[in-house]
Amino acid sequence: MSLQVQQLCKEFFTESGSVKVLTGIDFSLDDGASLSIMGPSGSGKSTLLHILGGLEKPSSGNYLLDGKNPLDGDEQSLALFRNQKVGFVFQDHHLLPQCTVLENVLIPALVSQTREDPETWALDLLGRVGLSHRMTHFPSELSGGERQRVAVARALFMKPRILLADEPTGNLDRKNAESVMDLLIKLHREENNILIVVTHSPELAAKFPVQKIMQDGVLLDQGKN
Amino acid sequence: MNYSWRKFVIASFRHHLLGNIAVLFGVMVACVSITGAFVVGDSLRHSLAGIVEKKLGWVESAVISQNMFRASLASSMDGNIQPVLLLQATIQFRDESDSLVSQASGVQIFGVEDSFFKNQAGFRNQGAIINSILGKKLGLSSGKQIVALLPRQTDIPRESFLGRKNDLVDSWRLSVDSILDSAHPMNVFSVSGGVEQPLNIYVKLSELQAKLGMAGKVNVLLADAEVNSKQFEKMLGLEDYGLKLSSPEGRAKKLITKLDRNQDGVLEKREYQGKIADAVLRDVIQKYGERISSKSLEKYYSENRPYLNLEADKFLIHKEVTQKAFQAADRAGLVASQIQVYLANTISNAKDEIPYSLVAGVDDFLAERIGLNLKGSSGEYPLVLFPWNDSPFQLKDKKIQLSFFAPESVGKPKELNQVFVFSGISSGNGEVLDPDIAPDFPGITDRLTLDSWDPPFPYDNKRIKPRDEKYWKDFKTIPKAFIRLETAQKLWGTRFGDTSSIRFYAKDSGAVSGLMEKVETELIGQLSPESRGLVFKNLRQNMIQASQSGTDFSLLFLGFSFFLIASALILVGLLFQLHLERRLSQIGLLLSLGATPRLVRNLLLYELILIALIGSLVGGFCSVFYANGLLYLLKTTWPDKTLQSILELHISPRSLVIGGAITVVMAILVVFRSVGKISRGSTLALLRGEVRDIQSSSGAGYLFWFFGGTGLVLVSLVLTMIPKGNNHEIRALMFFGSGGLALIGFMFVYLSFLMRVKKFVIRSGGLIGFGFLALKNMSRNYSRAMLSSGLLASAAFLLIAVEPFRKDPKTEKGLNSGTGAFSLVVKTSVPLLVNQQDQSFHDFLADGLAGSLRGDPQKARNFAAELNGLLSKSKWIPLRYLPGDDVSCSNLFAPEKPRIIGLPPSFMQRGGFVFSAINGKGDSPWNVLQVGAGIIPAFVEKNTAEWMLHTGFGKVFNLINERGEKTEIKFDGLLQNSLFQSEILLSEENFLKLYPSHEGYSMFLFESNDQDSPRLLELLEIALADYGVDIQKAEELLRKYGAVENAYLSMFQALGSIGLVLGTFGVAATLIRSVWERRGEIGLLKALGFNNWNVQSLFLLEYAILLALGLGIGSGAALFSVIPLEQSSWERWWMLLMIQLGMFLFGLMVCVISLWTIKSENIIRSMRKE
Repeated sequence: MSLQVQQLCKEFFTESGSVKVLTGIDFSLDDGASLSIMGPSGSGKSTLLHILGGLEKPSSGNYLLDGKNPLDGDEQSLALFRNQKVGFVFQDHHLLPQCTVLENVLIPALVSQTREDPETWALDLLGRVGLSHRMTHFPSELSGGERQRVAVARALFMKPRILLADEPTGNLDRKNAESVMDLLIKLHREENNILIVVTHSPELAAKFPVQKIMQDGVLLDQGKN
Repeated sequence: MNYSWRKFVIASFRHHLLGNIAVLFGVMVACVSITGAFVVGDSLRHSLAGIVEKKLGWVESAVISQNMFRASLASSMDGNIQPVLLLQATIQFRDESDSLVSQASGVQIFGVEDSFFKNQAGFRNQGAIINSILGKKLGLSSGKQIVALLPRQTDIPRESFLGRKNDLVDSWRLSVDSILDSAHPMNVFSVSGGVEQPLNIYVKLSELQAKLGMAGKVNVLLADAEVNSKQFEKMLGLEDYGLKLSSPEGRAKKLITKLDRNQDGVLEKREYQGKIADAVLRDVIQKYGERISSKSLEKYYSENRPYLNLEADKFLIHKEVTQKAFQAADRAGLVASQIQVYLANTISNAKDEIPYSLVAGVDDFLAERIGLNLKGSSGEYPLVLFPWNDSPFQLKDKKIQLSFFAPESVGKPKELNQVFVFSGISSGNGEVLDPDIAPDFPGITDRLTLDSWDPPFPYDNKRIKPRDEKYWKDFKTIPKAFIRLETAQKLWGTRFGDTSSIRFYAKDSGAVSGLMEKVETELIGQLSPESRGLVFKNLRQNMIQASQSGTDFSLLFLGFSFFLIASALILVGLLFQLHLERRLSQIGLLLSLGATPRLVRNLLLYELILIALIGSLVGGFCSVFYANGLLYLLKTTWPDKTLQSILELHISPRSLVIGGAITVVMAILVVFRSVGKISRGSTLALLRGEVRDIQSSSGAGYLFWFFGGTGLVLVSLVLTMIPKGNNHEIRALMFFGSGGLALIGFMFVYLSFLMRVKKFVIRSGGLIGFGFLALKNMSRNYSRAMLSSGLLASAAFLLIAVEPFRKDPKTEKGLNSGTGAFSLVVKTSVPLLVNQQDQSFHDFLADGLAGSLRGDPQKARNFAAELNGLLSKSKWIPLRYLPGDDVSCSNLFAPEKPRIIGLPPSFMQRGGFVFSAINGKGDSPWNVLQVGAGIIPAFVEKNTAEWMLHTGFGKVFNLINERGEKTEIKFDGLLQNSLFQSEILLSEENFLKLYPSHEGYSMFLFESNDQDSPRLLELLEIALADYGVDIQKAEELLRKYGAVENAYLSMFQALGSIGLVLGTFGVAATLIRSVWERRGEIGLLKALGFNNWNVQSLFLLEYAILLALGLGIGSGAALFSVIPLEQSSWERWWMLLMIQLGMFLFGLMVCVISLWTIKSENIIRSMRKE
């Protein structure tokens, strides 16, 4: 299995005591697999995604990608992991307002220039999300859905092994939400990466072959589709 | 790839332009302050260098000597060398009735040749050319008549018993030939630095030389290029060293020239009768007949007086020259012999006496040579008498007493006695028969009779008997008595010298005349040109150096601008942090995309560098205008108004670059930590845009701060009550210290209050409820509240705290104060020879009144009587005063040759003044100056030592003595706010050791009561008008000195106030940041029904409390400590408090404007923190 998570736990310590956010998370996924996670607010869904995306470290447990723990190592290797292995789509698109659509997609390439002709690839991605005609526009000139598409294109720019989306449609209307989610799934299939999506919407969650529920920090199976 | 981090940084910069402009403003202000200070320093240095250029005109290098030398040296050298006679004079403009219209003292009178003016017009007619400044001061125009009062020149030291104590000034009536235009290159010519515009008068060199009796002599040489001084020094002769060497033939020729009226080379009886000693004449006539030819006389001299004779222009040869003469004799293969000749008022035994007799002290060599038995037992002073028929003394007279005037005196000379043992009578012929043993002295040696003498000492010709006249006729200046040289030097040695002549004899009784050149060469080789000031110095270089080495105004203004710069940089830090915090999510995004914290930090720093570079460029441009403003501030506050006309703006590109570079570096340093901190923050927290908000603390800590603060305030209170004595600086420092403690104490109490206030429960509504809510909001981040208030409190405290350092001479009364209880400080440009112990000063002043009021003798007598009455009620002390460079802080040039004062024992016994530090104990600290052995002790004003001489207490300092040699002195005492801020103080004894040729007193301190003082001043001004008098009230002099420090304080306070203004902008910046941070809270309050005004007033109240506490604590701490201090003027305190109130209102206004954005905040977006 390409991605393996074994007994992953996460605990936060506060003045009032420790809070267990994740308890004994276990799952594994191959390349090309996708997974949706639903659950109530505060159940730990985003925390799991943050750990998988290298934005947090677990308190205990194993997280392996191709047999290696990507979170072991120094700040430099972690940054490299986030840059080259992970694509993250946030609920709030987090586009840089000072950069054009094309530049926003190209930002990861500034960190590590591993691709030849990155602009062509960025344009290709923008074409696939249907925004190549807006490449010189700034985020303030786009609608919410369009911004999120740009965020999706940016997440795919480095051809990541894992594509993580944390409530990617949370701020969108129903029509846009569905459109963005379909796009996400389509591109995931085209790129054959591992896609994990957190969503509140059962309809959107149902689009995934594997659905899980996060409840009180424990990941439970929804059932296979 | 086209897209790069460079493009990203530029795009970010453009996108966040408004925020960047705010940061840029802070950078710009910092750059303006820093670069402005540099530009002020540059401007001052450039202006002072400009003064030097104007003063020097075409002159590049110069010889400037206190002694006269041959003017012909100028023409013997290559290049354009101008001989100049330079003196200080007083110029009077009198009307037709000879009444004084106007007067100027300290005028430079230059005796010059026409070529001095180079291509410009020189002397048109007879008369004087004056510069425009003197013309304006005296209200002169061409053709007007003036009187120049010149110091009368004399070779004989006035303080020696042969020196004339009065008749110090020679008057010279001149007409004004022309007045130089202000643009004339030599209009403000001077050989000394300083910003003062000199008062100059130019006369023809030959005329001035004739007037002074200094034909062929000058004391200055000016060159328009650099001169090889060694070449010049090789041209010097003995004459230039004030020495004259004569051969026997030379002396004979001189006598012939003097007596040969018909210039036929032969002396007839009528020419020499009575003018040559009869005893000598008999000898000469016997050998050569009554018609004495030049050749005969020369032969007589070479046979009977076979020695080279060395004498000094100043009558006495200094010990050091004697030493060198002996060395030269040795090298030339000759034997040297010293003689000290003196005049005894009386030679007496128990029964009889003879008046006015020359006595010669001779060494063993000469004693043996001329057959004198001067061997005596130890402790005895043997004396040999010259045989003359009418001598009343016989061998059986075992004891002979000599009475003579003390060899050195000011005022009336004192008569001393010494008993000798009569040890024999000399031979009456041979080499002893030599009147040339005594140097020429006009008024004595050139008189035909004893009765016709005109000596400078008290002389009673009624004492002269026929036998005395007969002796004079027979023997002239052949001494009546001989004593041992050592005895003569002990009794009659002076600081000017203890030898009247030195003879060089051939070892083998051969002729010496052939060896004269050799002796001269050897002696010149031994003498030091520096000892006579006969060295060419690069005047331009030295003066430029002095102009650039004074107080560094760049550093000074950087210090004054400290608060301004600190406030600006703090503002940069605050605004940049605010700017960053608005972009936290973007920073988080970059990190989430794989950028390392280091990369993110560098990107942010690149953006800051871009802001800083632009800010520095704009700041550099604006600094020119700021510097102009500072120069205006300097001109208006500086006590010397001359600065107004000379200070000009000068911009050096180097300073602009350095100022800009320093600003960029400091801006980076200020934000470096926070940029690093943010870039290392949690990626998720950054993505969420989280800023650490609420500060948590336990309730237990507040008690510690409360009691700690209260304790400090109590200690401060105790310190204010402790008596602080008269030392102004200690008082001010203790105030500062107690005020500082009070400030910290109050801040601690404030902190404890903030820590405690979050526990308060708001129970009421309205203003009180709002107030409590505002306080609780402040306590959320009390470290930020403390920082904001603390900065304002520190600024407010410092602005008021420096006020006690302001000098107020009204408080300086009494013996142990800055004035030392003196009321008047009198200086004269001509030194006076007066004595505290006798009436000489009173007589002198009476003569002065008679001279000044010569048109009304009765008025002069009345004034003299009135002045005597005032003097009898006052005390006065004369001081030795060596003119030179002012070493007080008001001198913008670095002093090269400091002014020195020599304090007499009567001053040191009196004591007084205030010391900052003193090395020694005992009744009077002034006694420290009287230490004889080792390094010479000295006192100086503390600020002078630190800022002008760059030295300190107990440190050694080099002075150049009269002989051009470096001499070490040690500052064993530092004075505090005294009258002597322009001088270095030595004891009179040590002063005269360093400057033995210095004579008379030209500084006088008067102690008189407030009632008599003004009239005393008026009368002294009239009495001393001819001597270039300058009188200042002691209080005014202290005010003048204090004005410099007060000017610095005013500048510090002015710039500090601007810093305080900037500080209020900083508070506004924290307010804006707070509004932004709490926008969710604002949205909630609005959602709960608070209207815009409610929300704005909540924040306004919070920051008004912050402002009020900051300014209040600072002002309060300052006032808390100052109240017990005696302050004569409270107006300034009120003014400073009004400034604080103004700052508070200004700060409120800025806050009101900053809160305007609250109005437009959308509730939902606010709550979502968008």
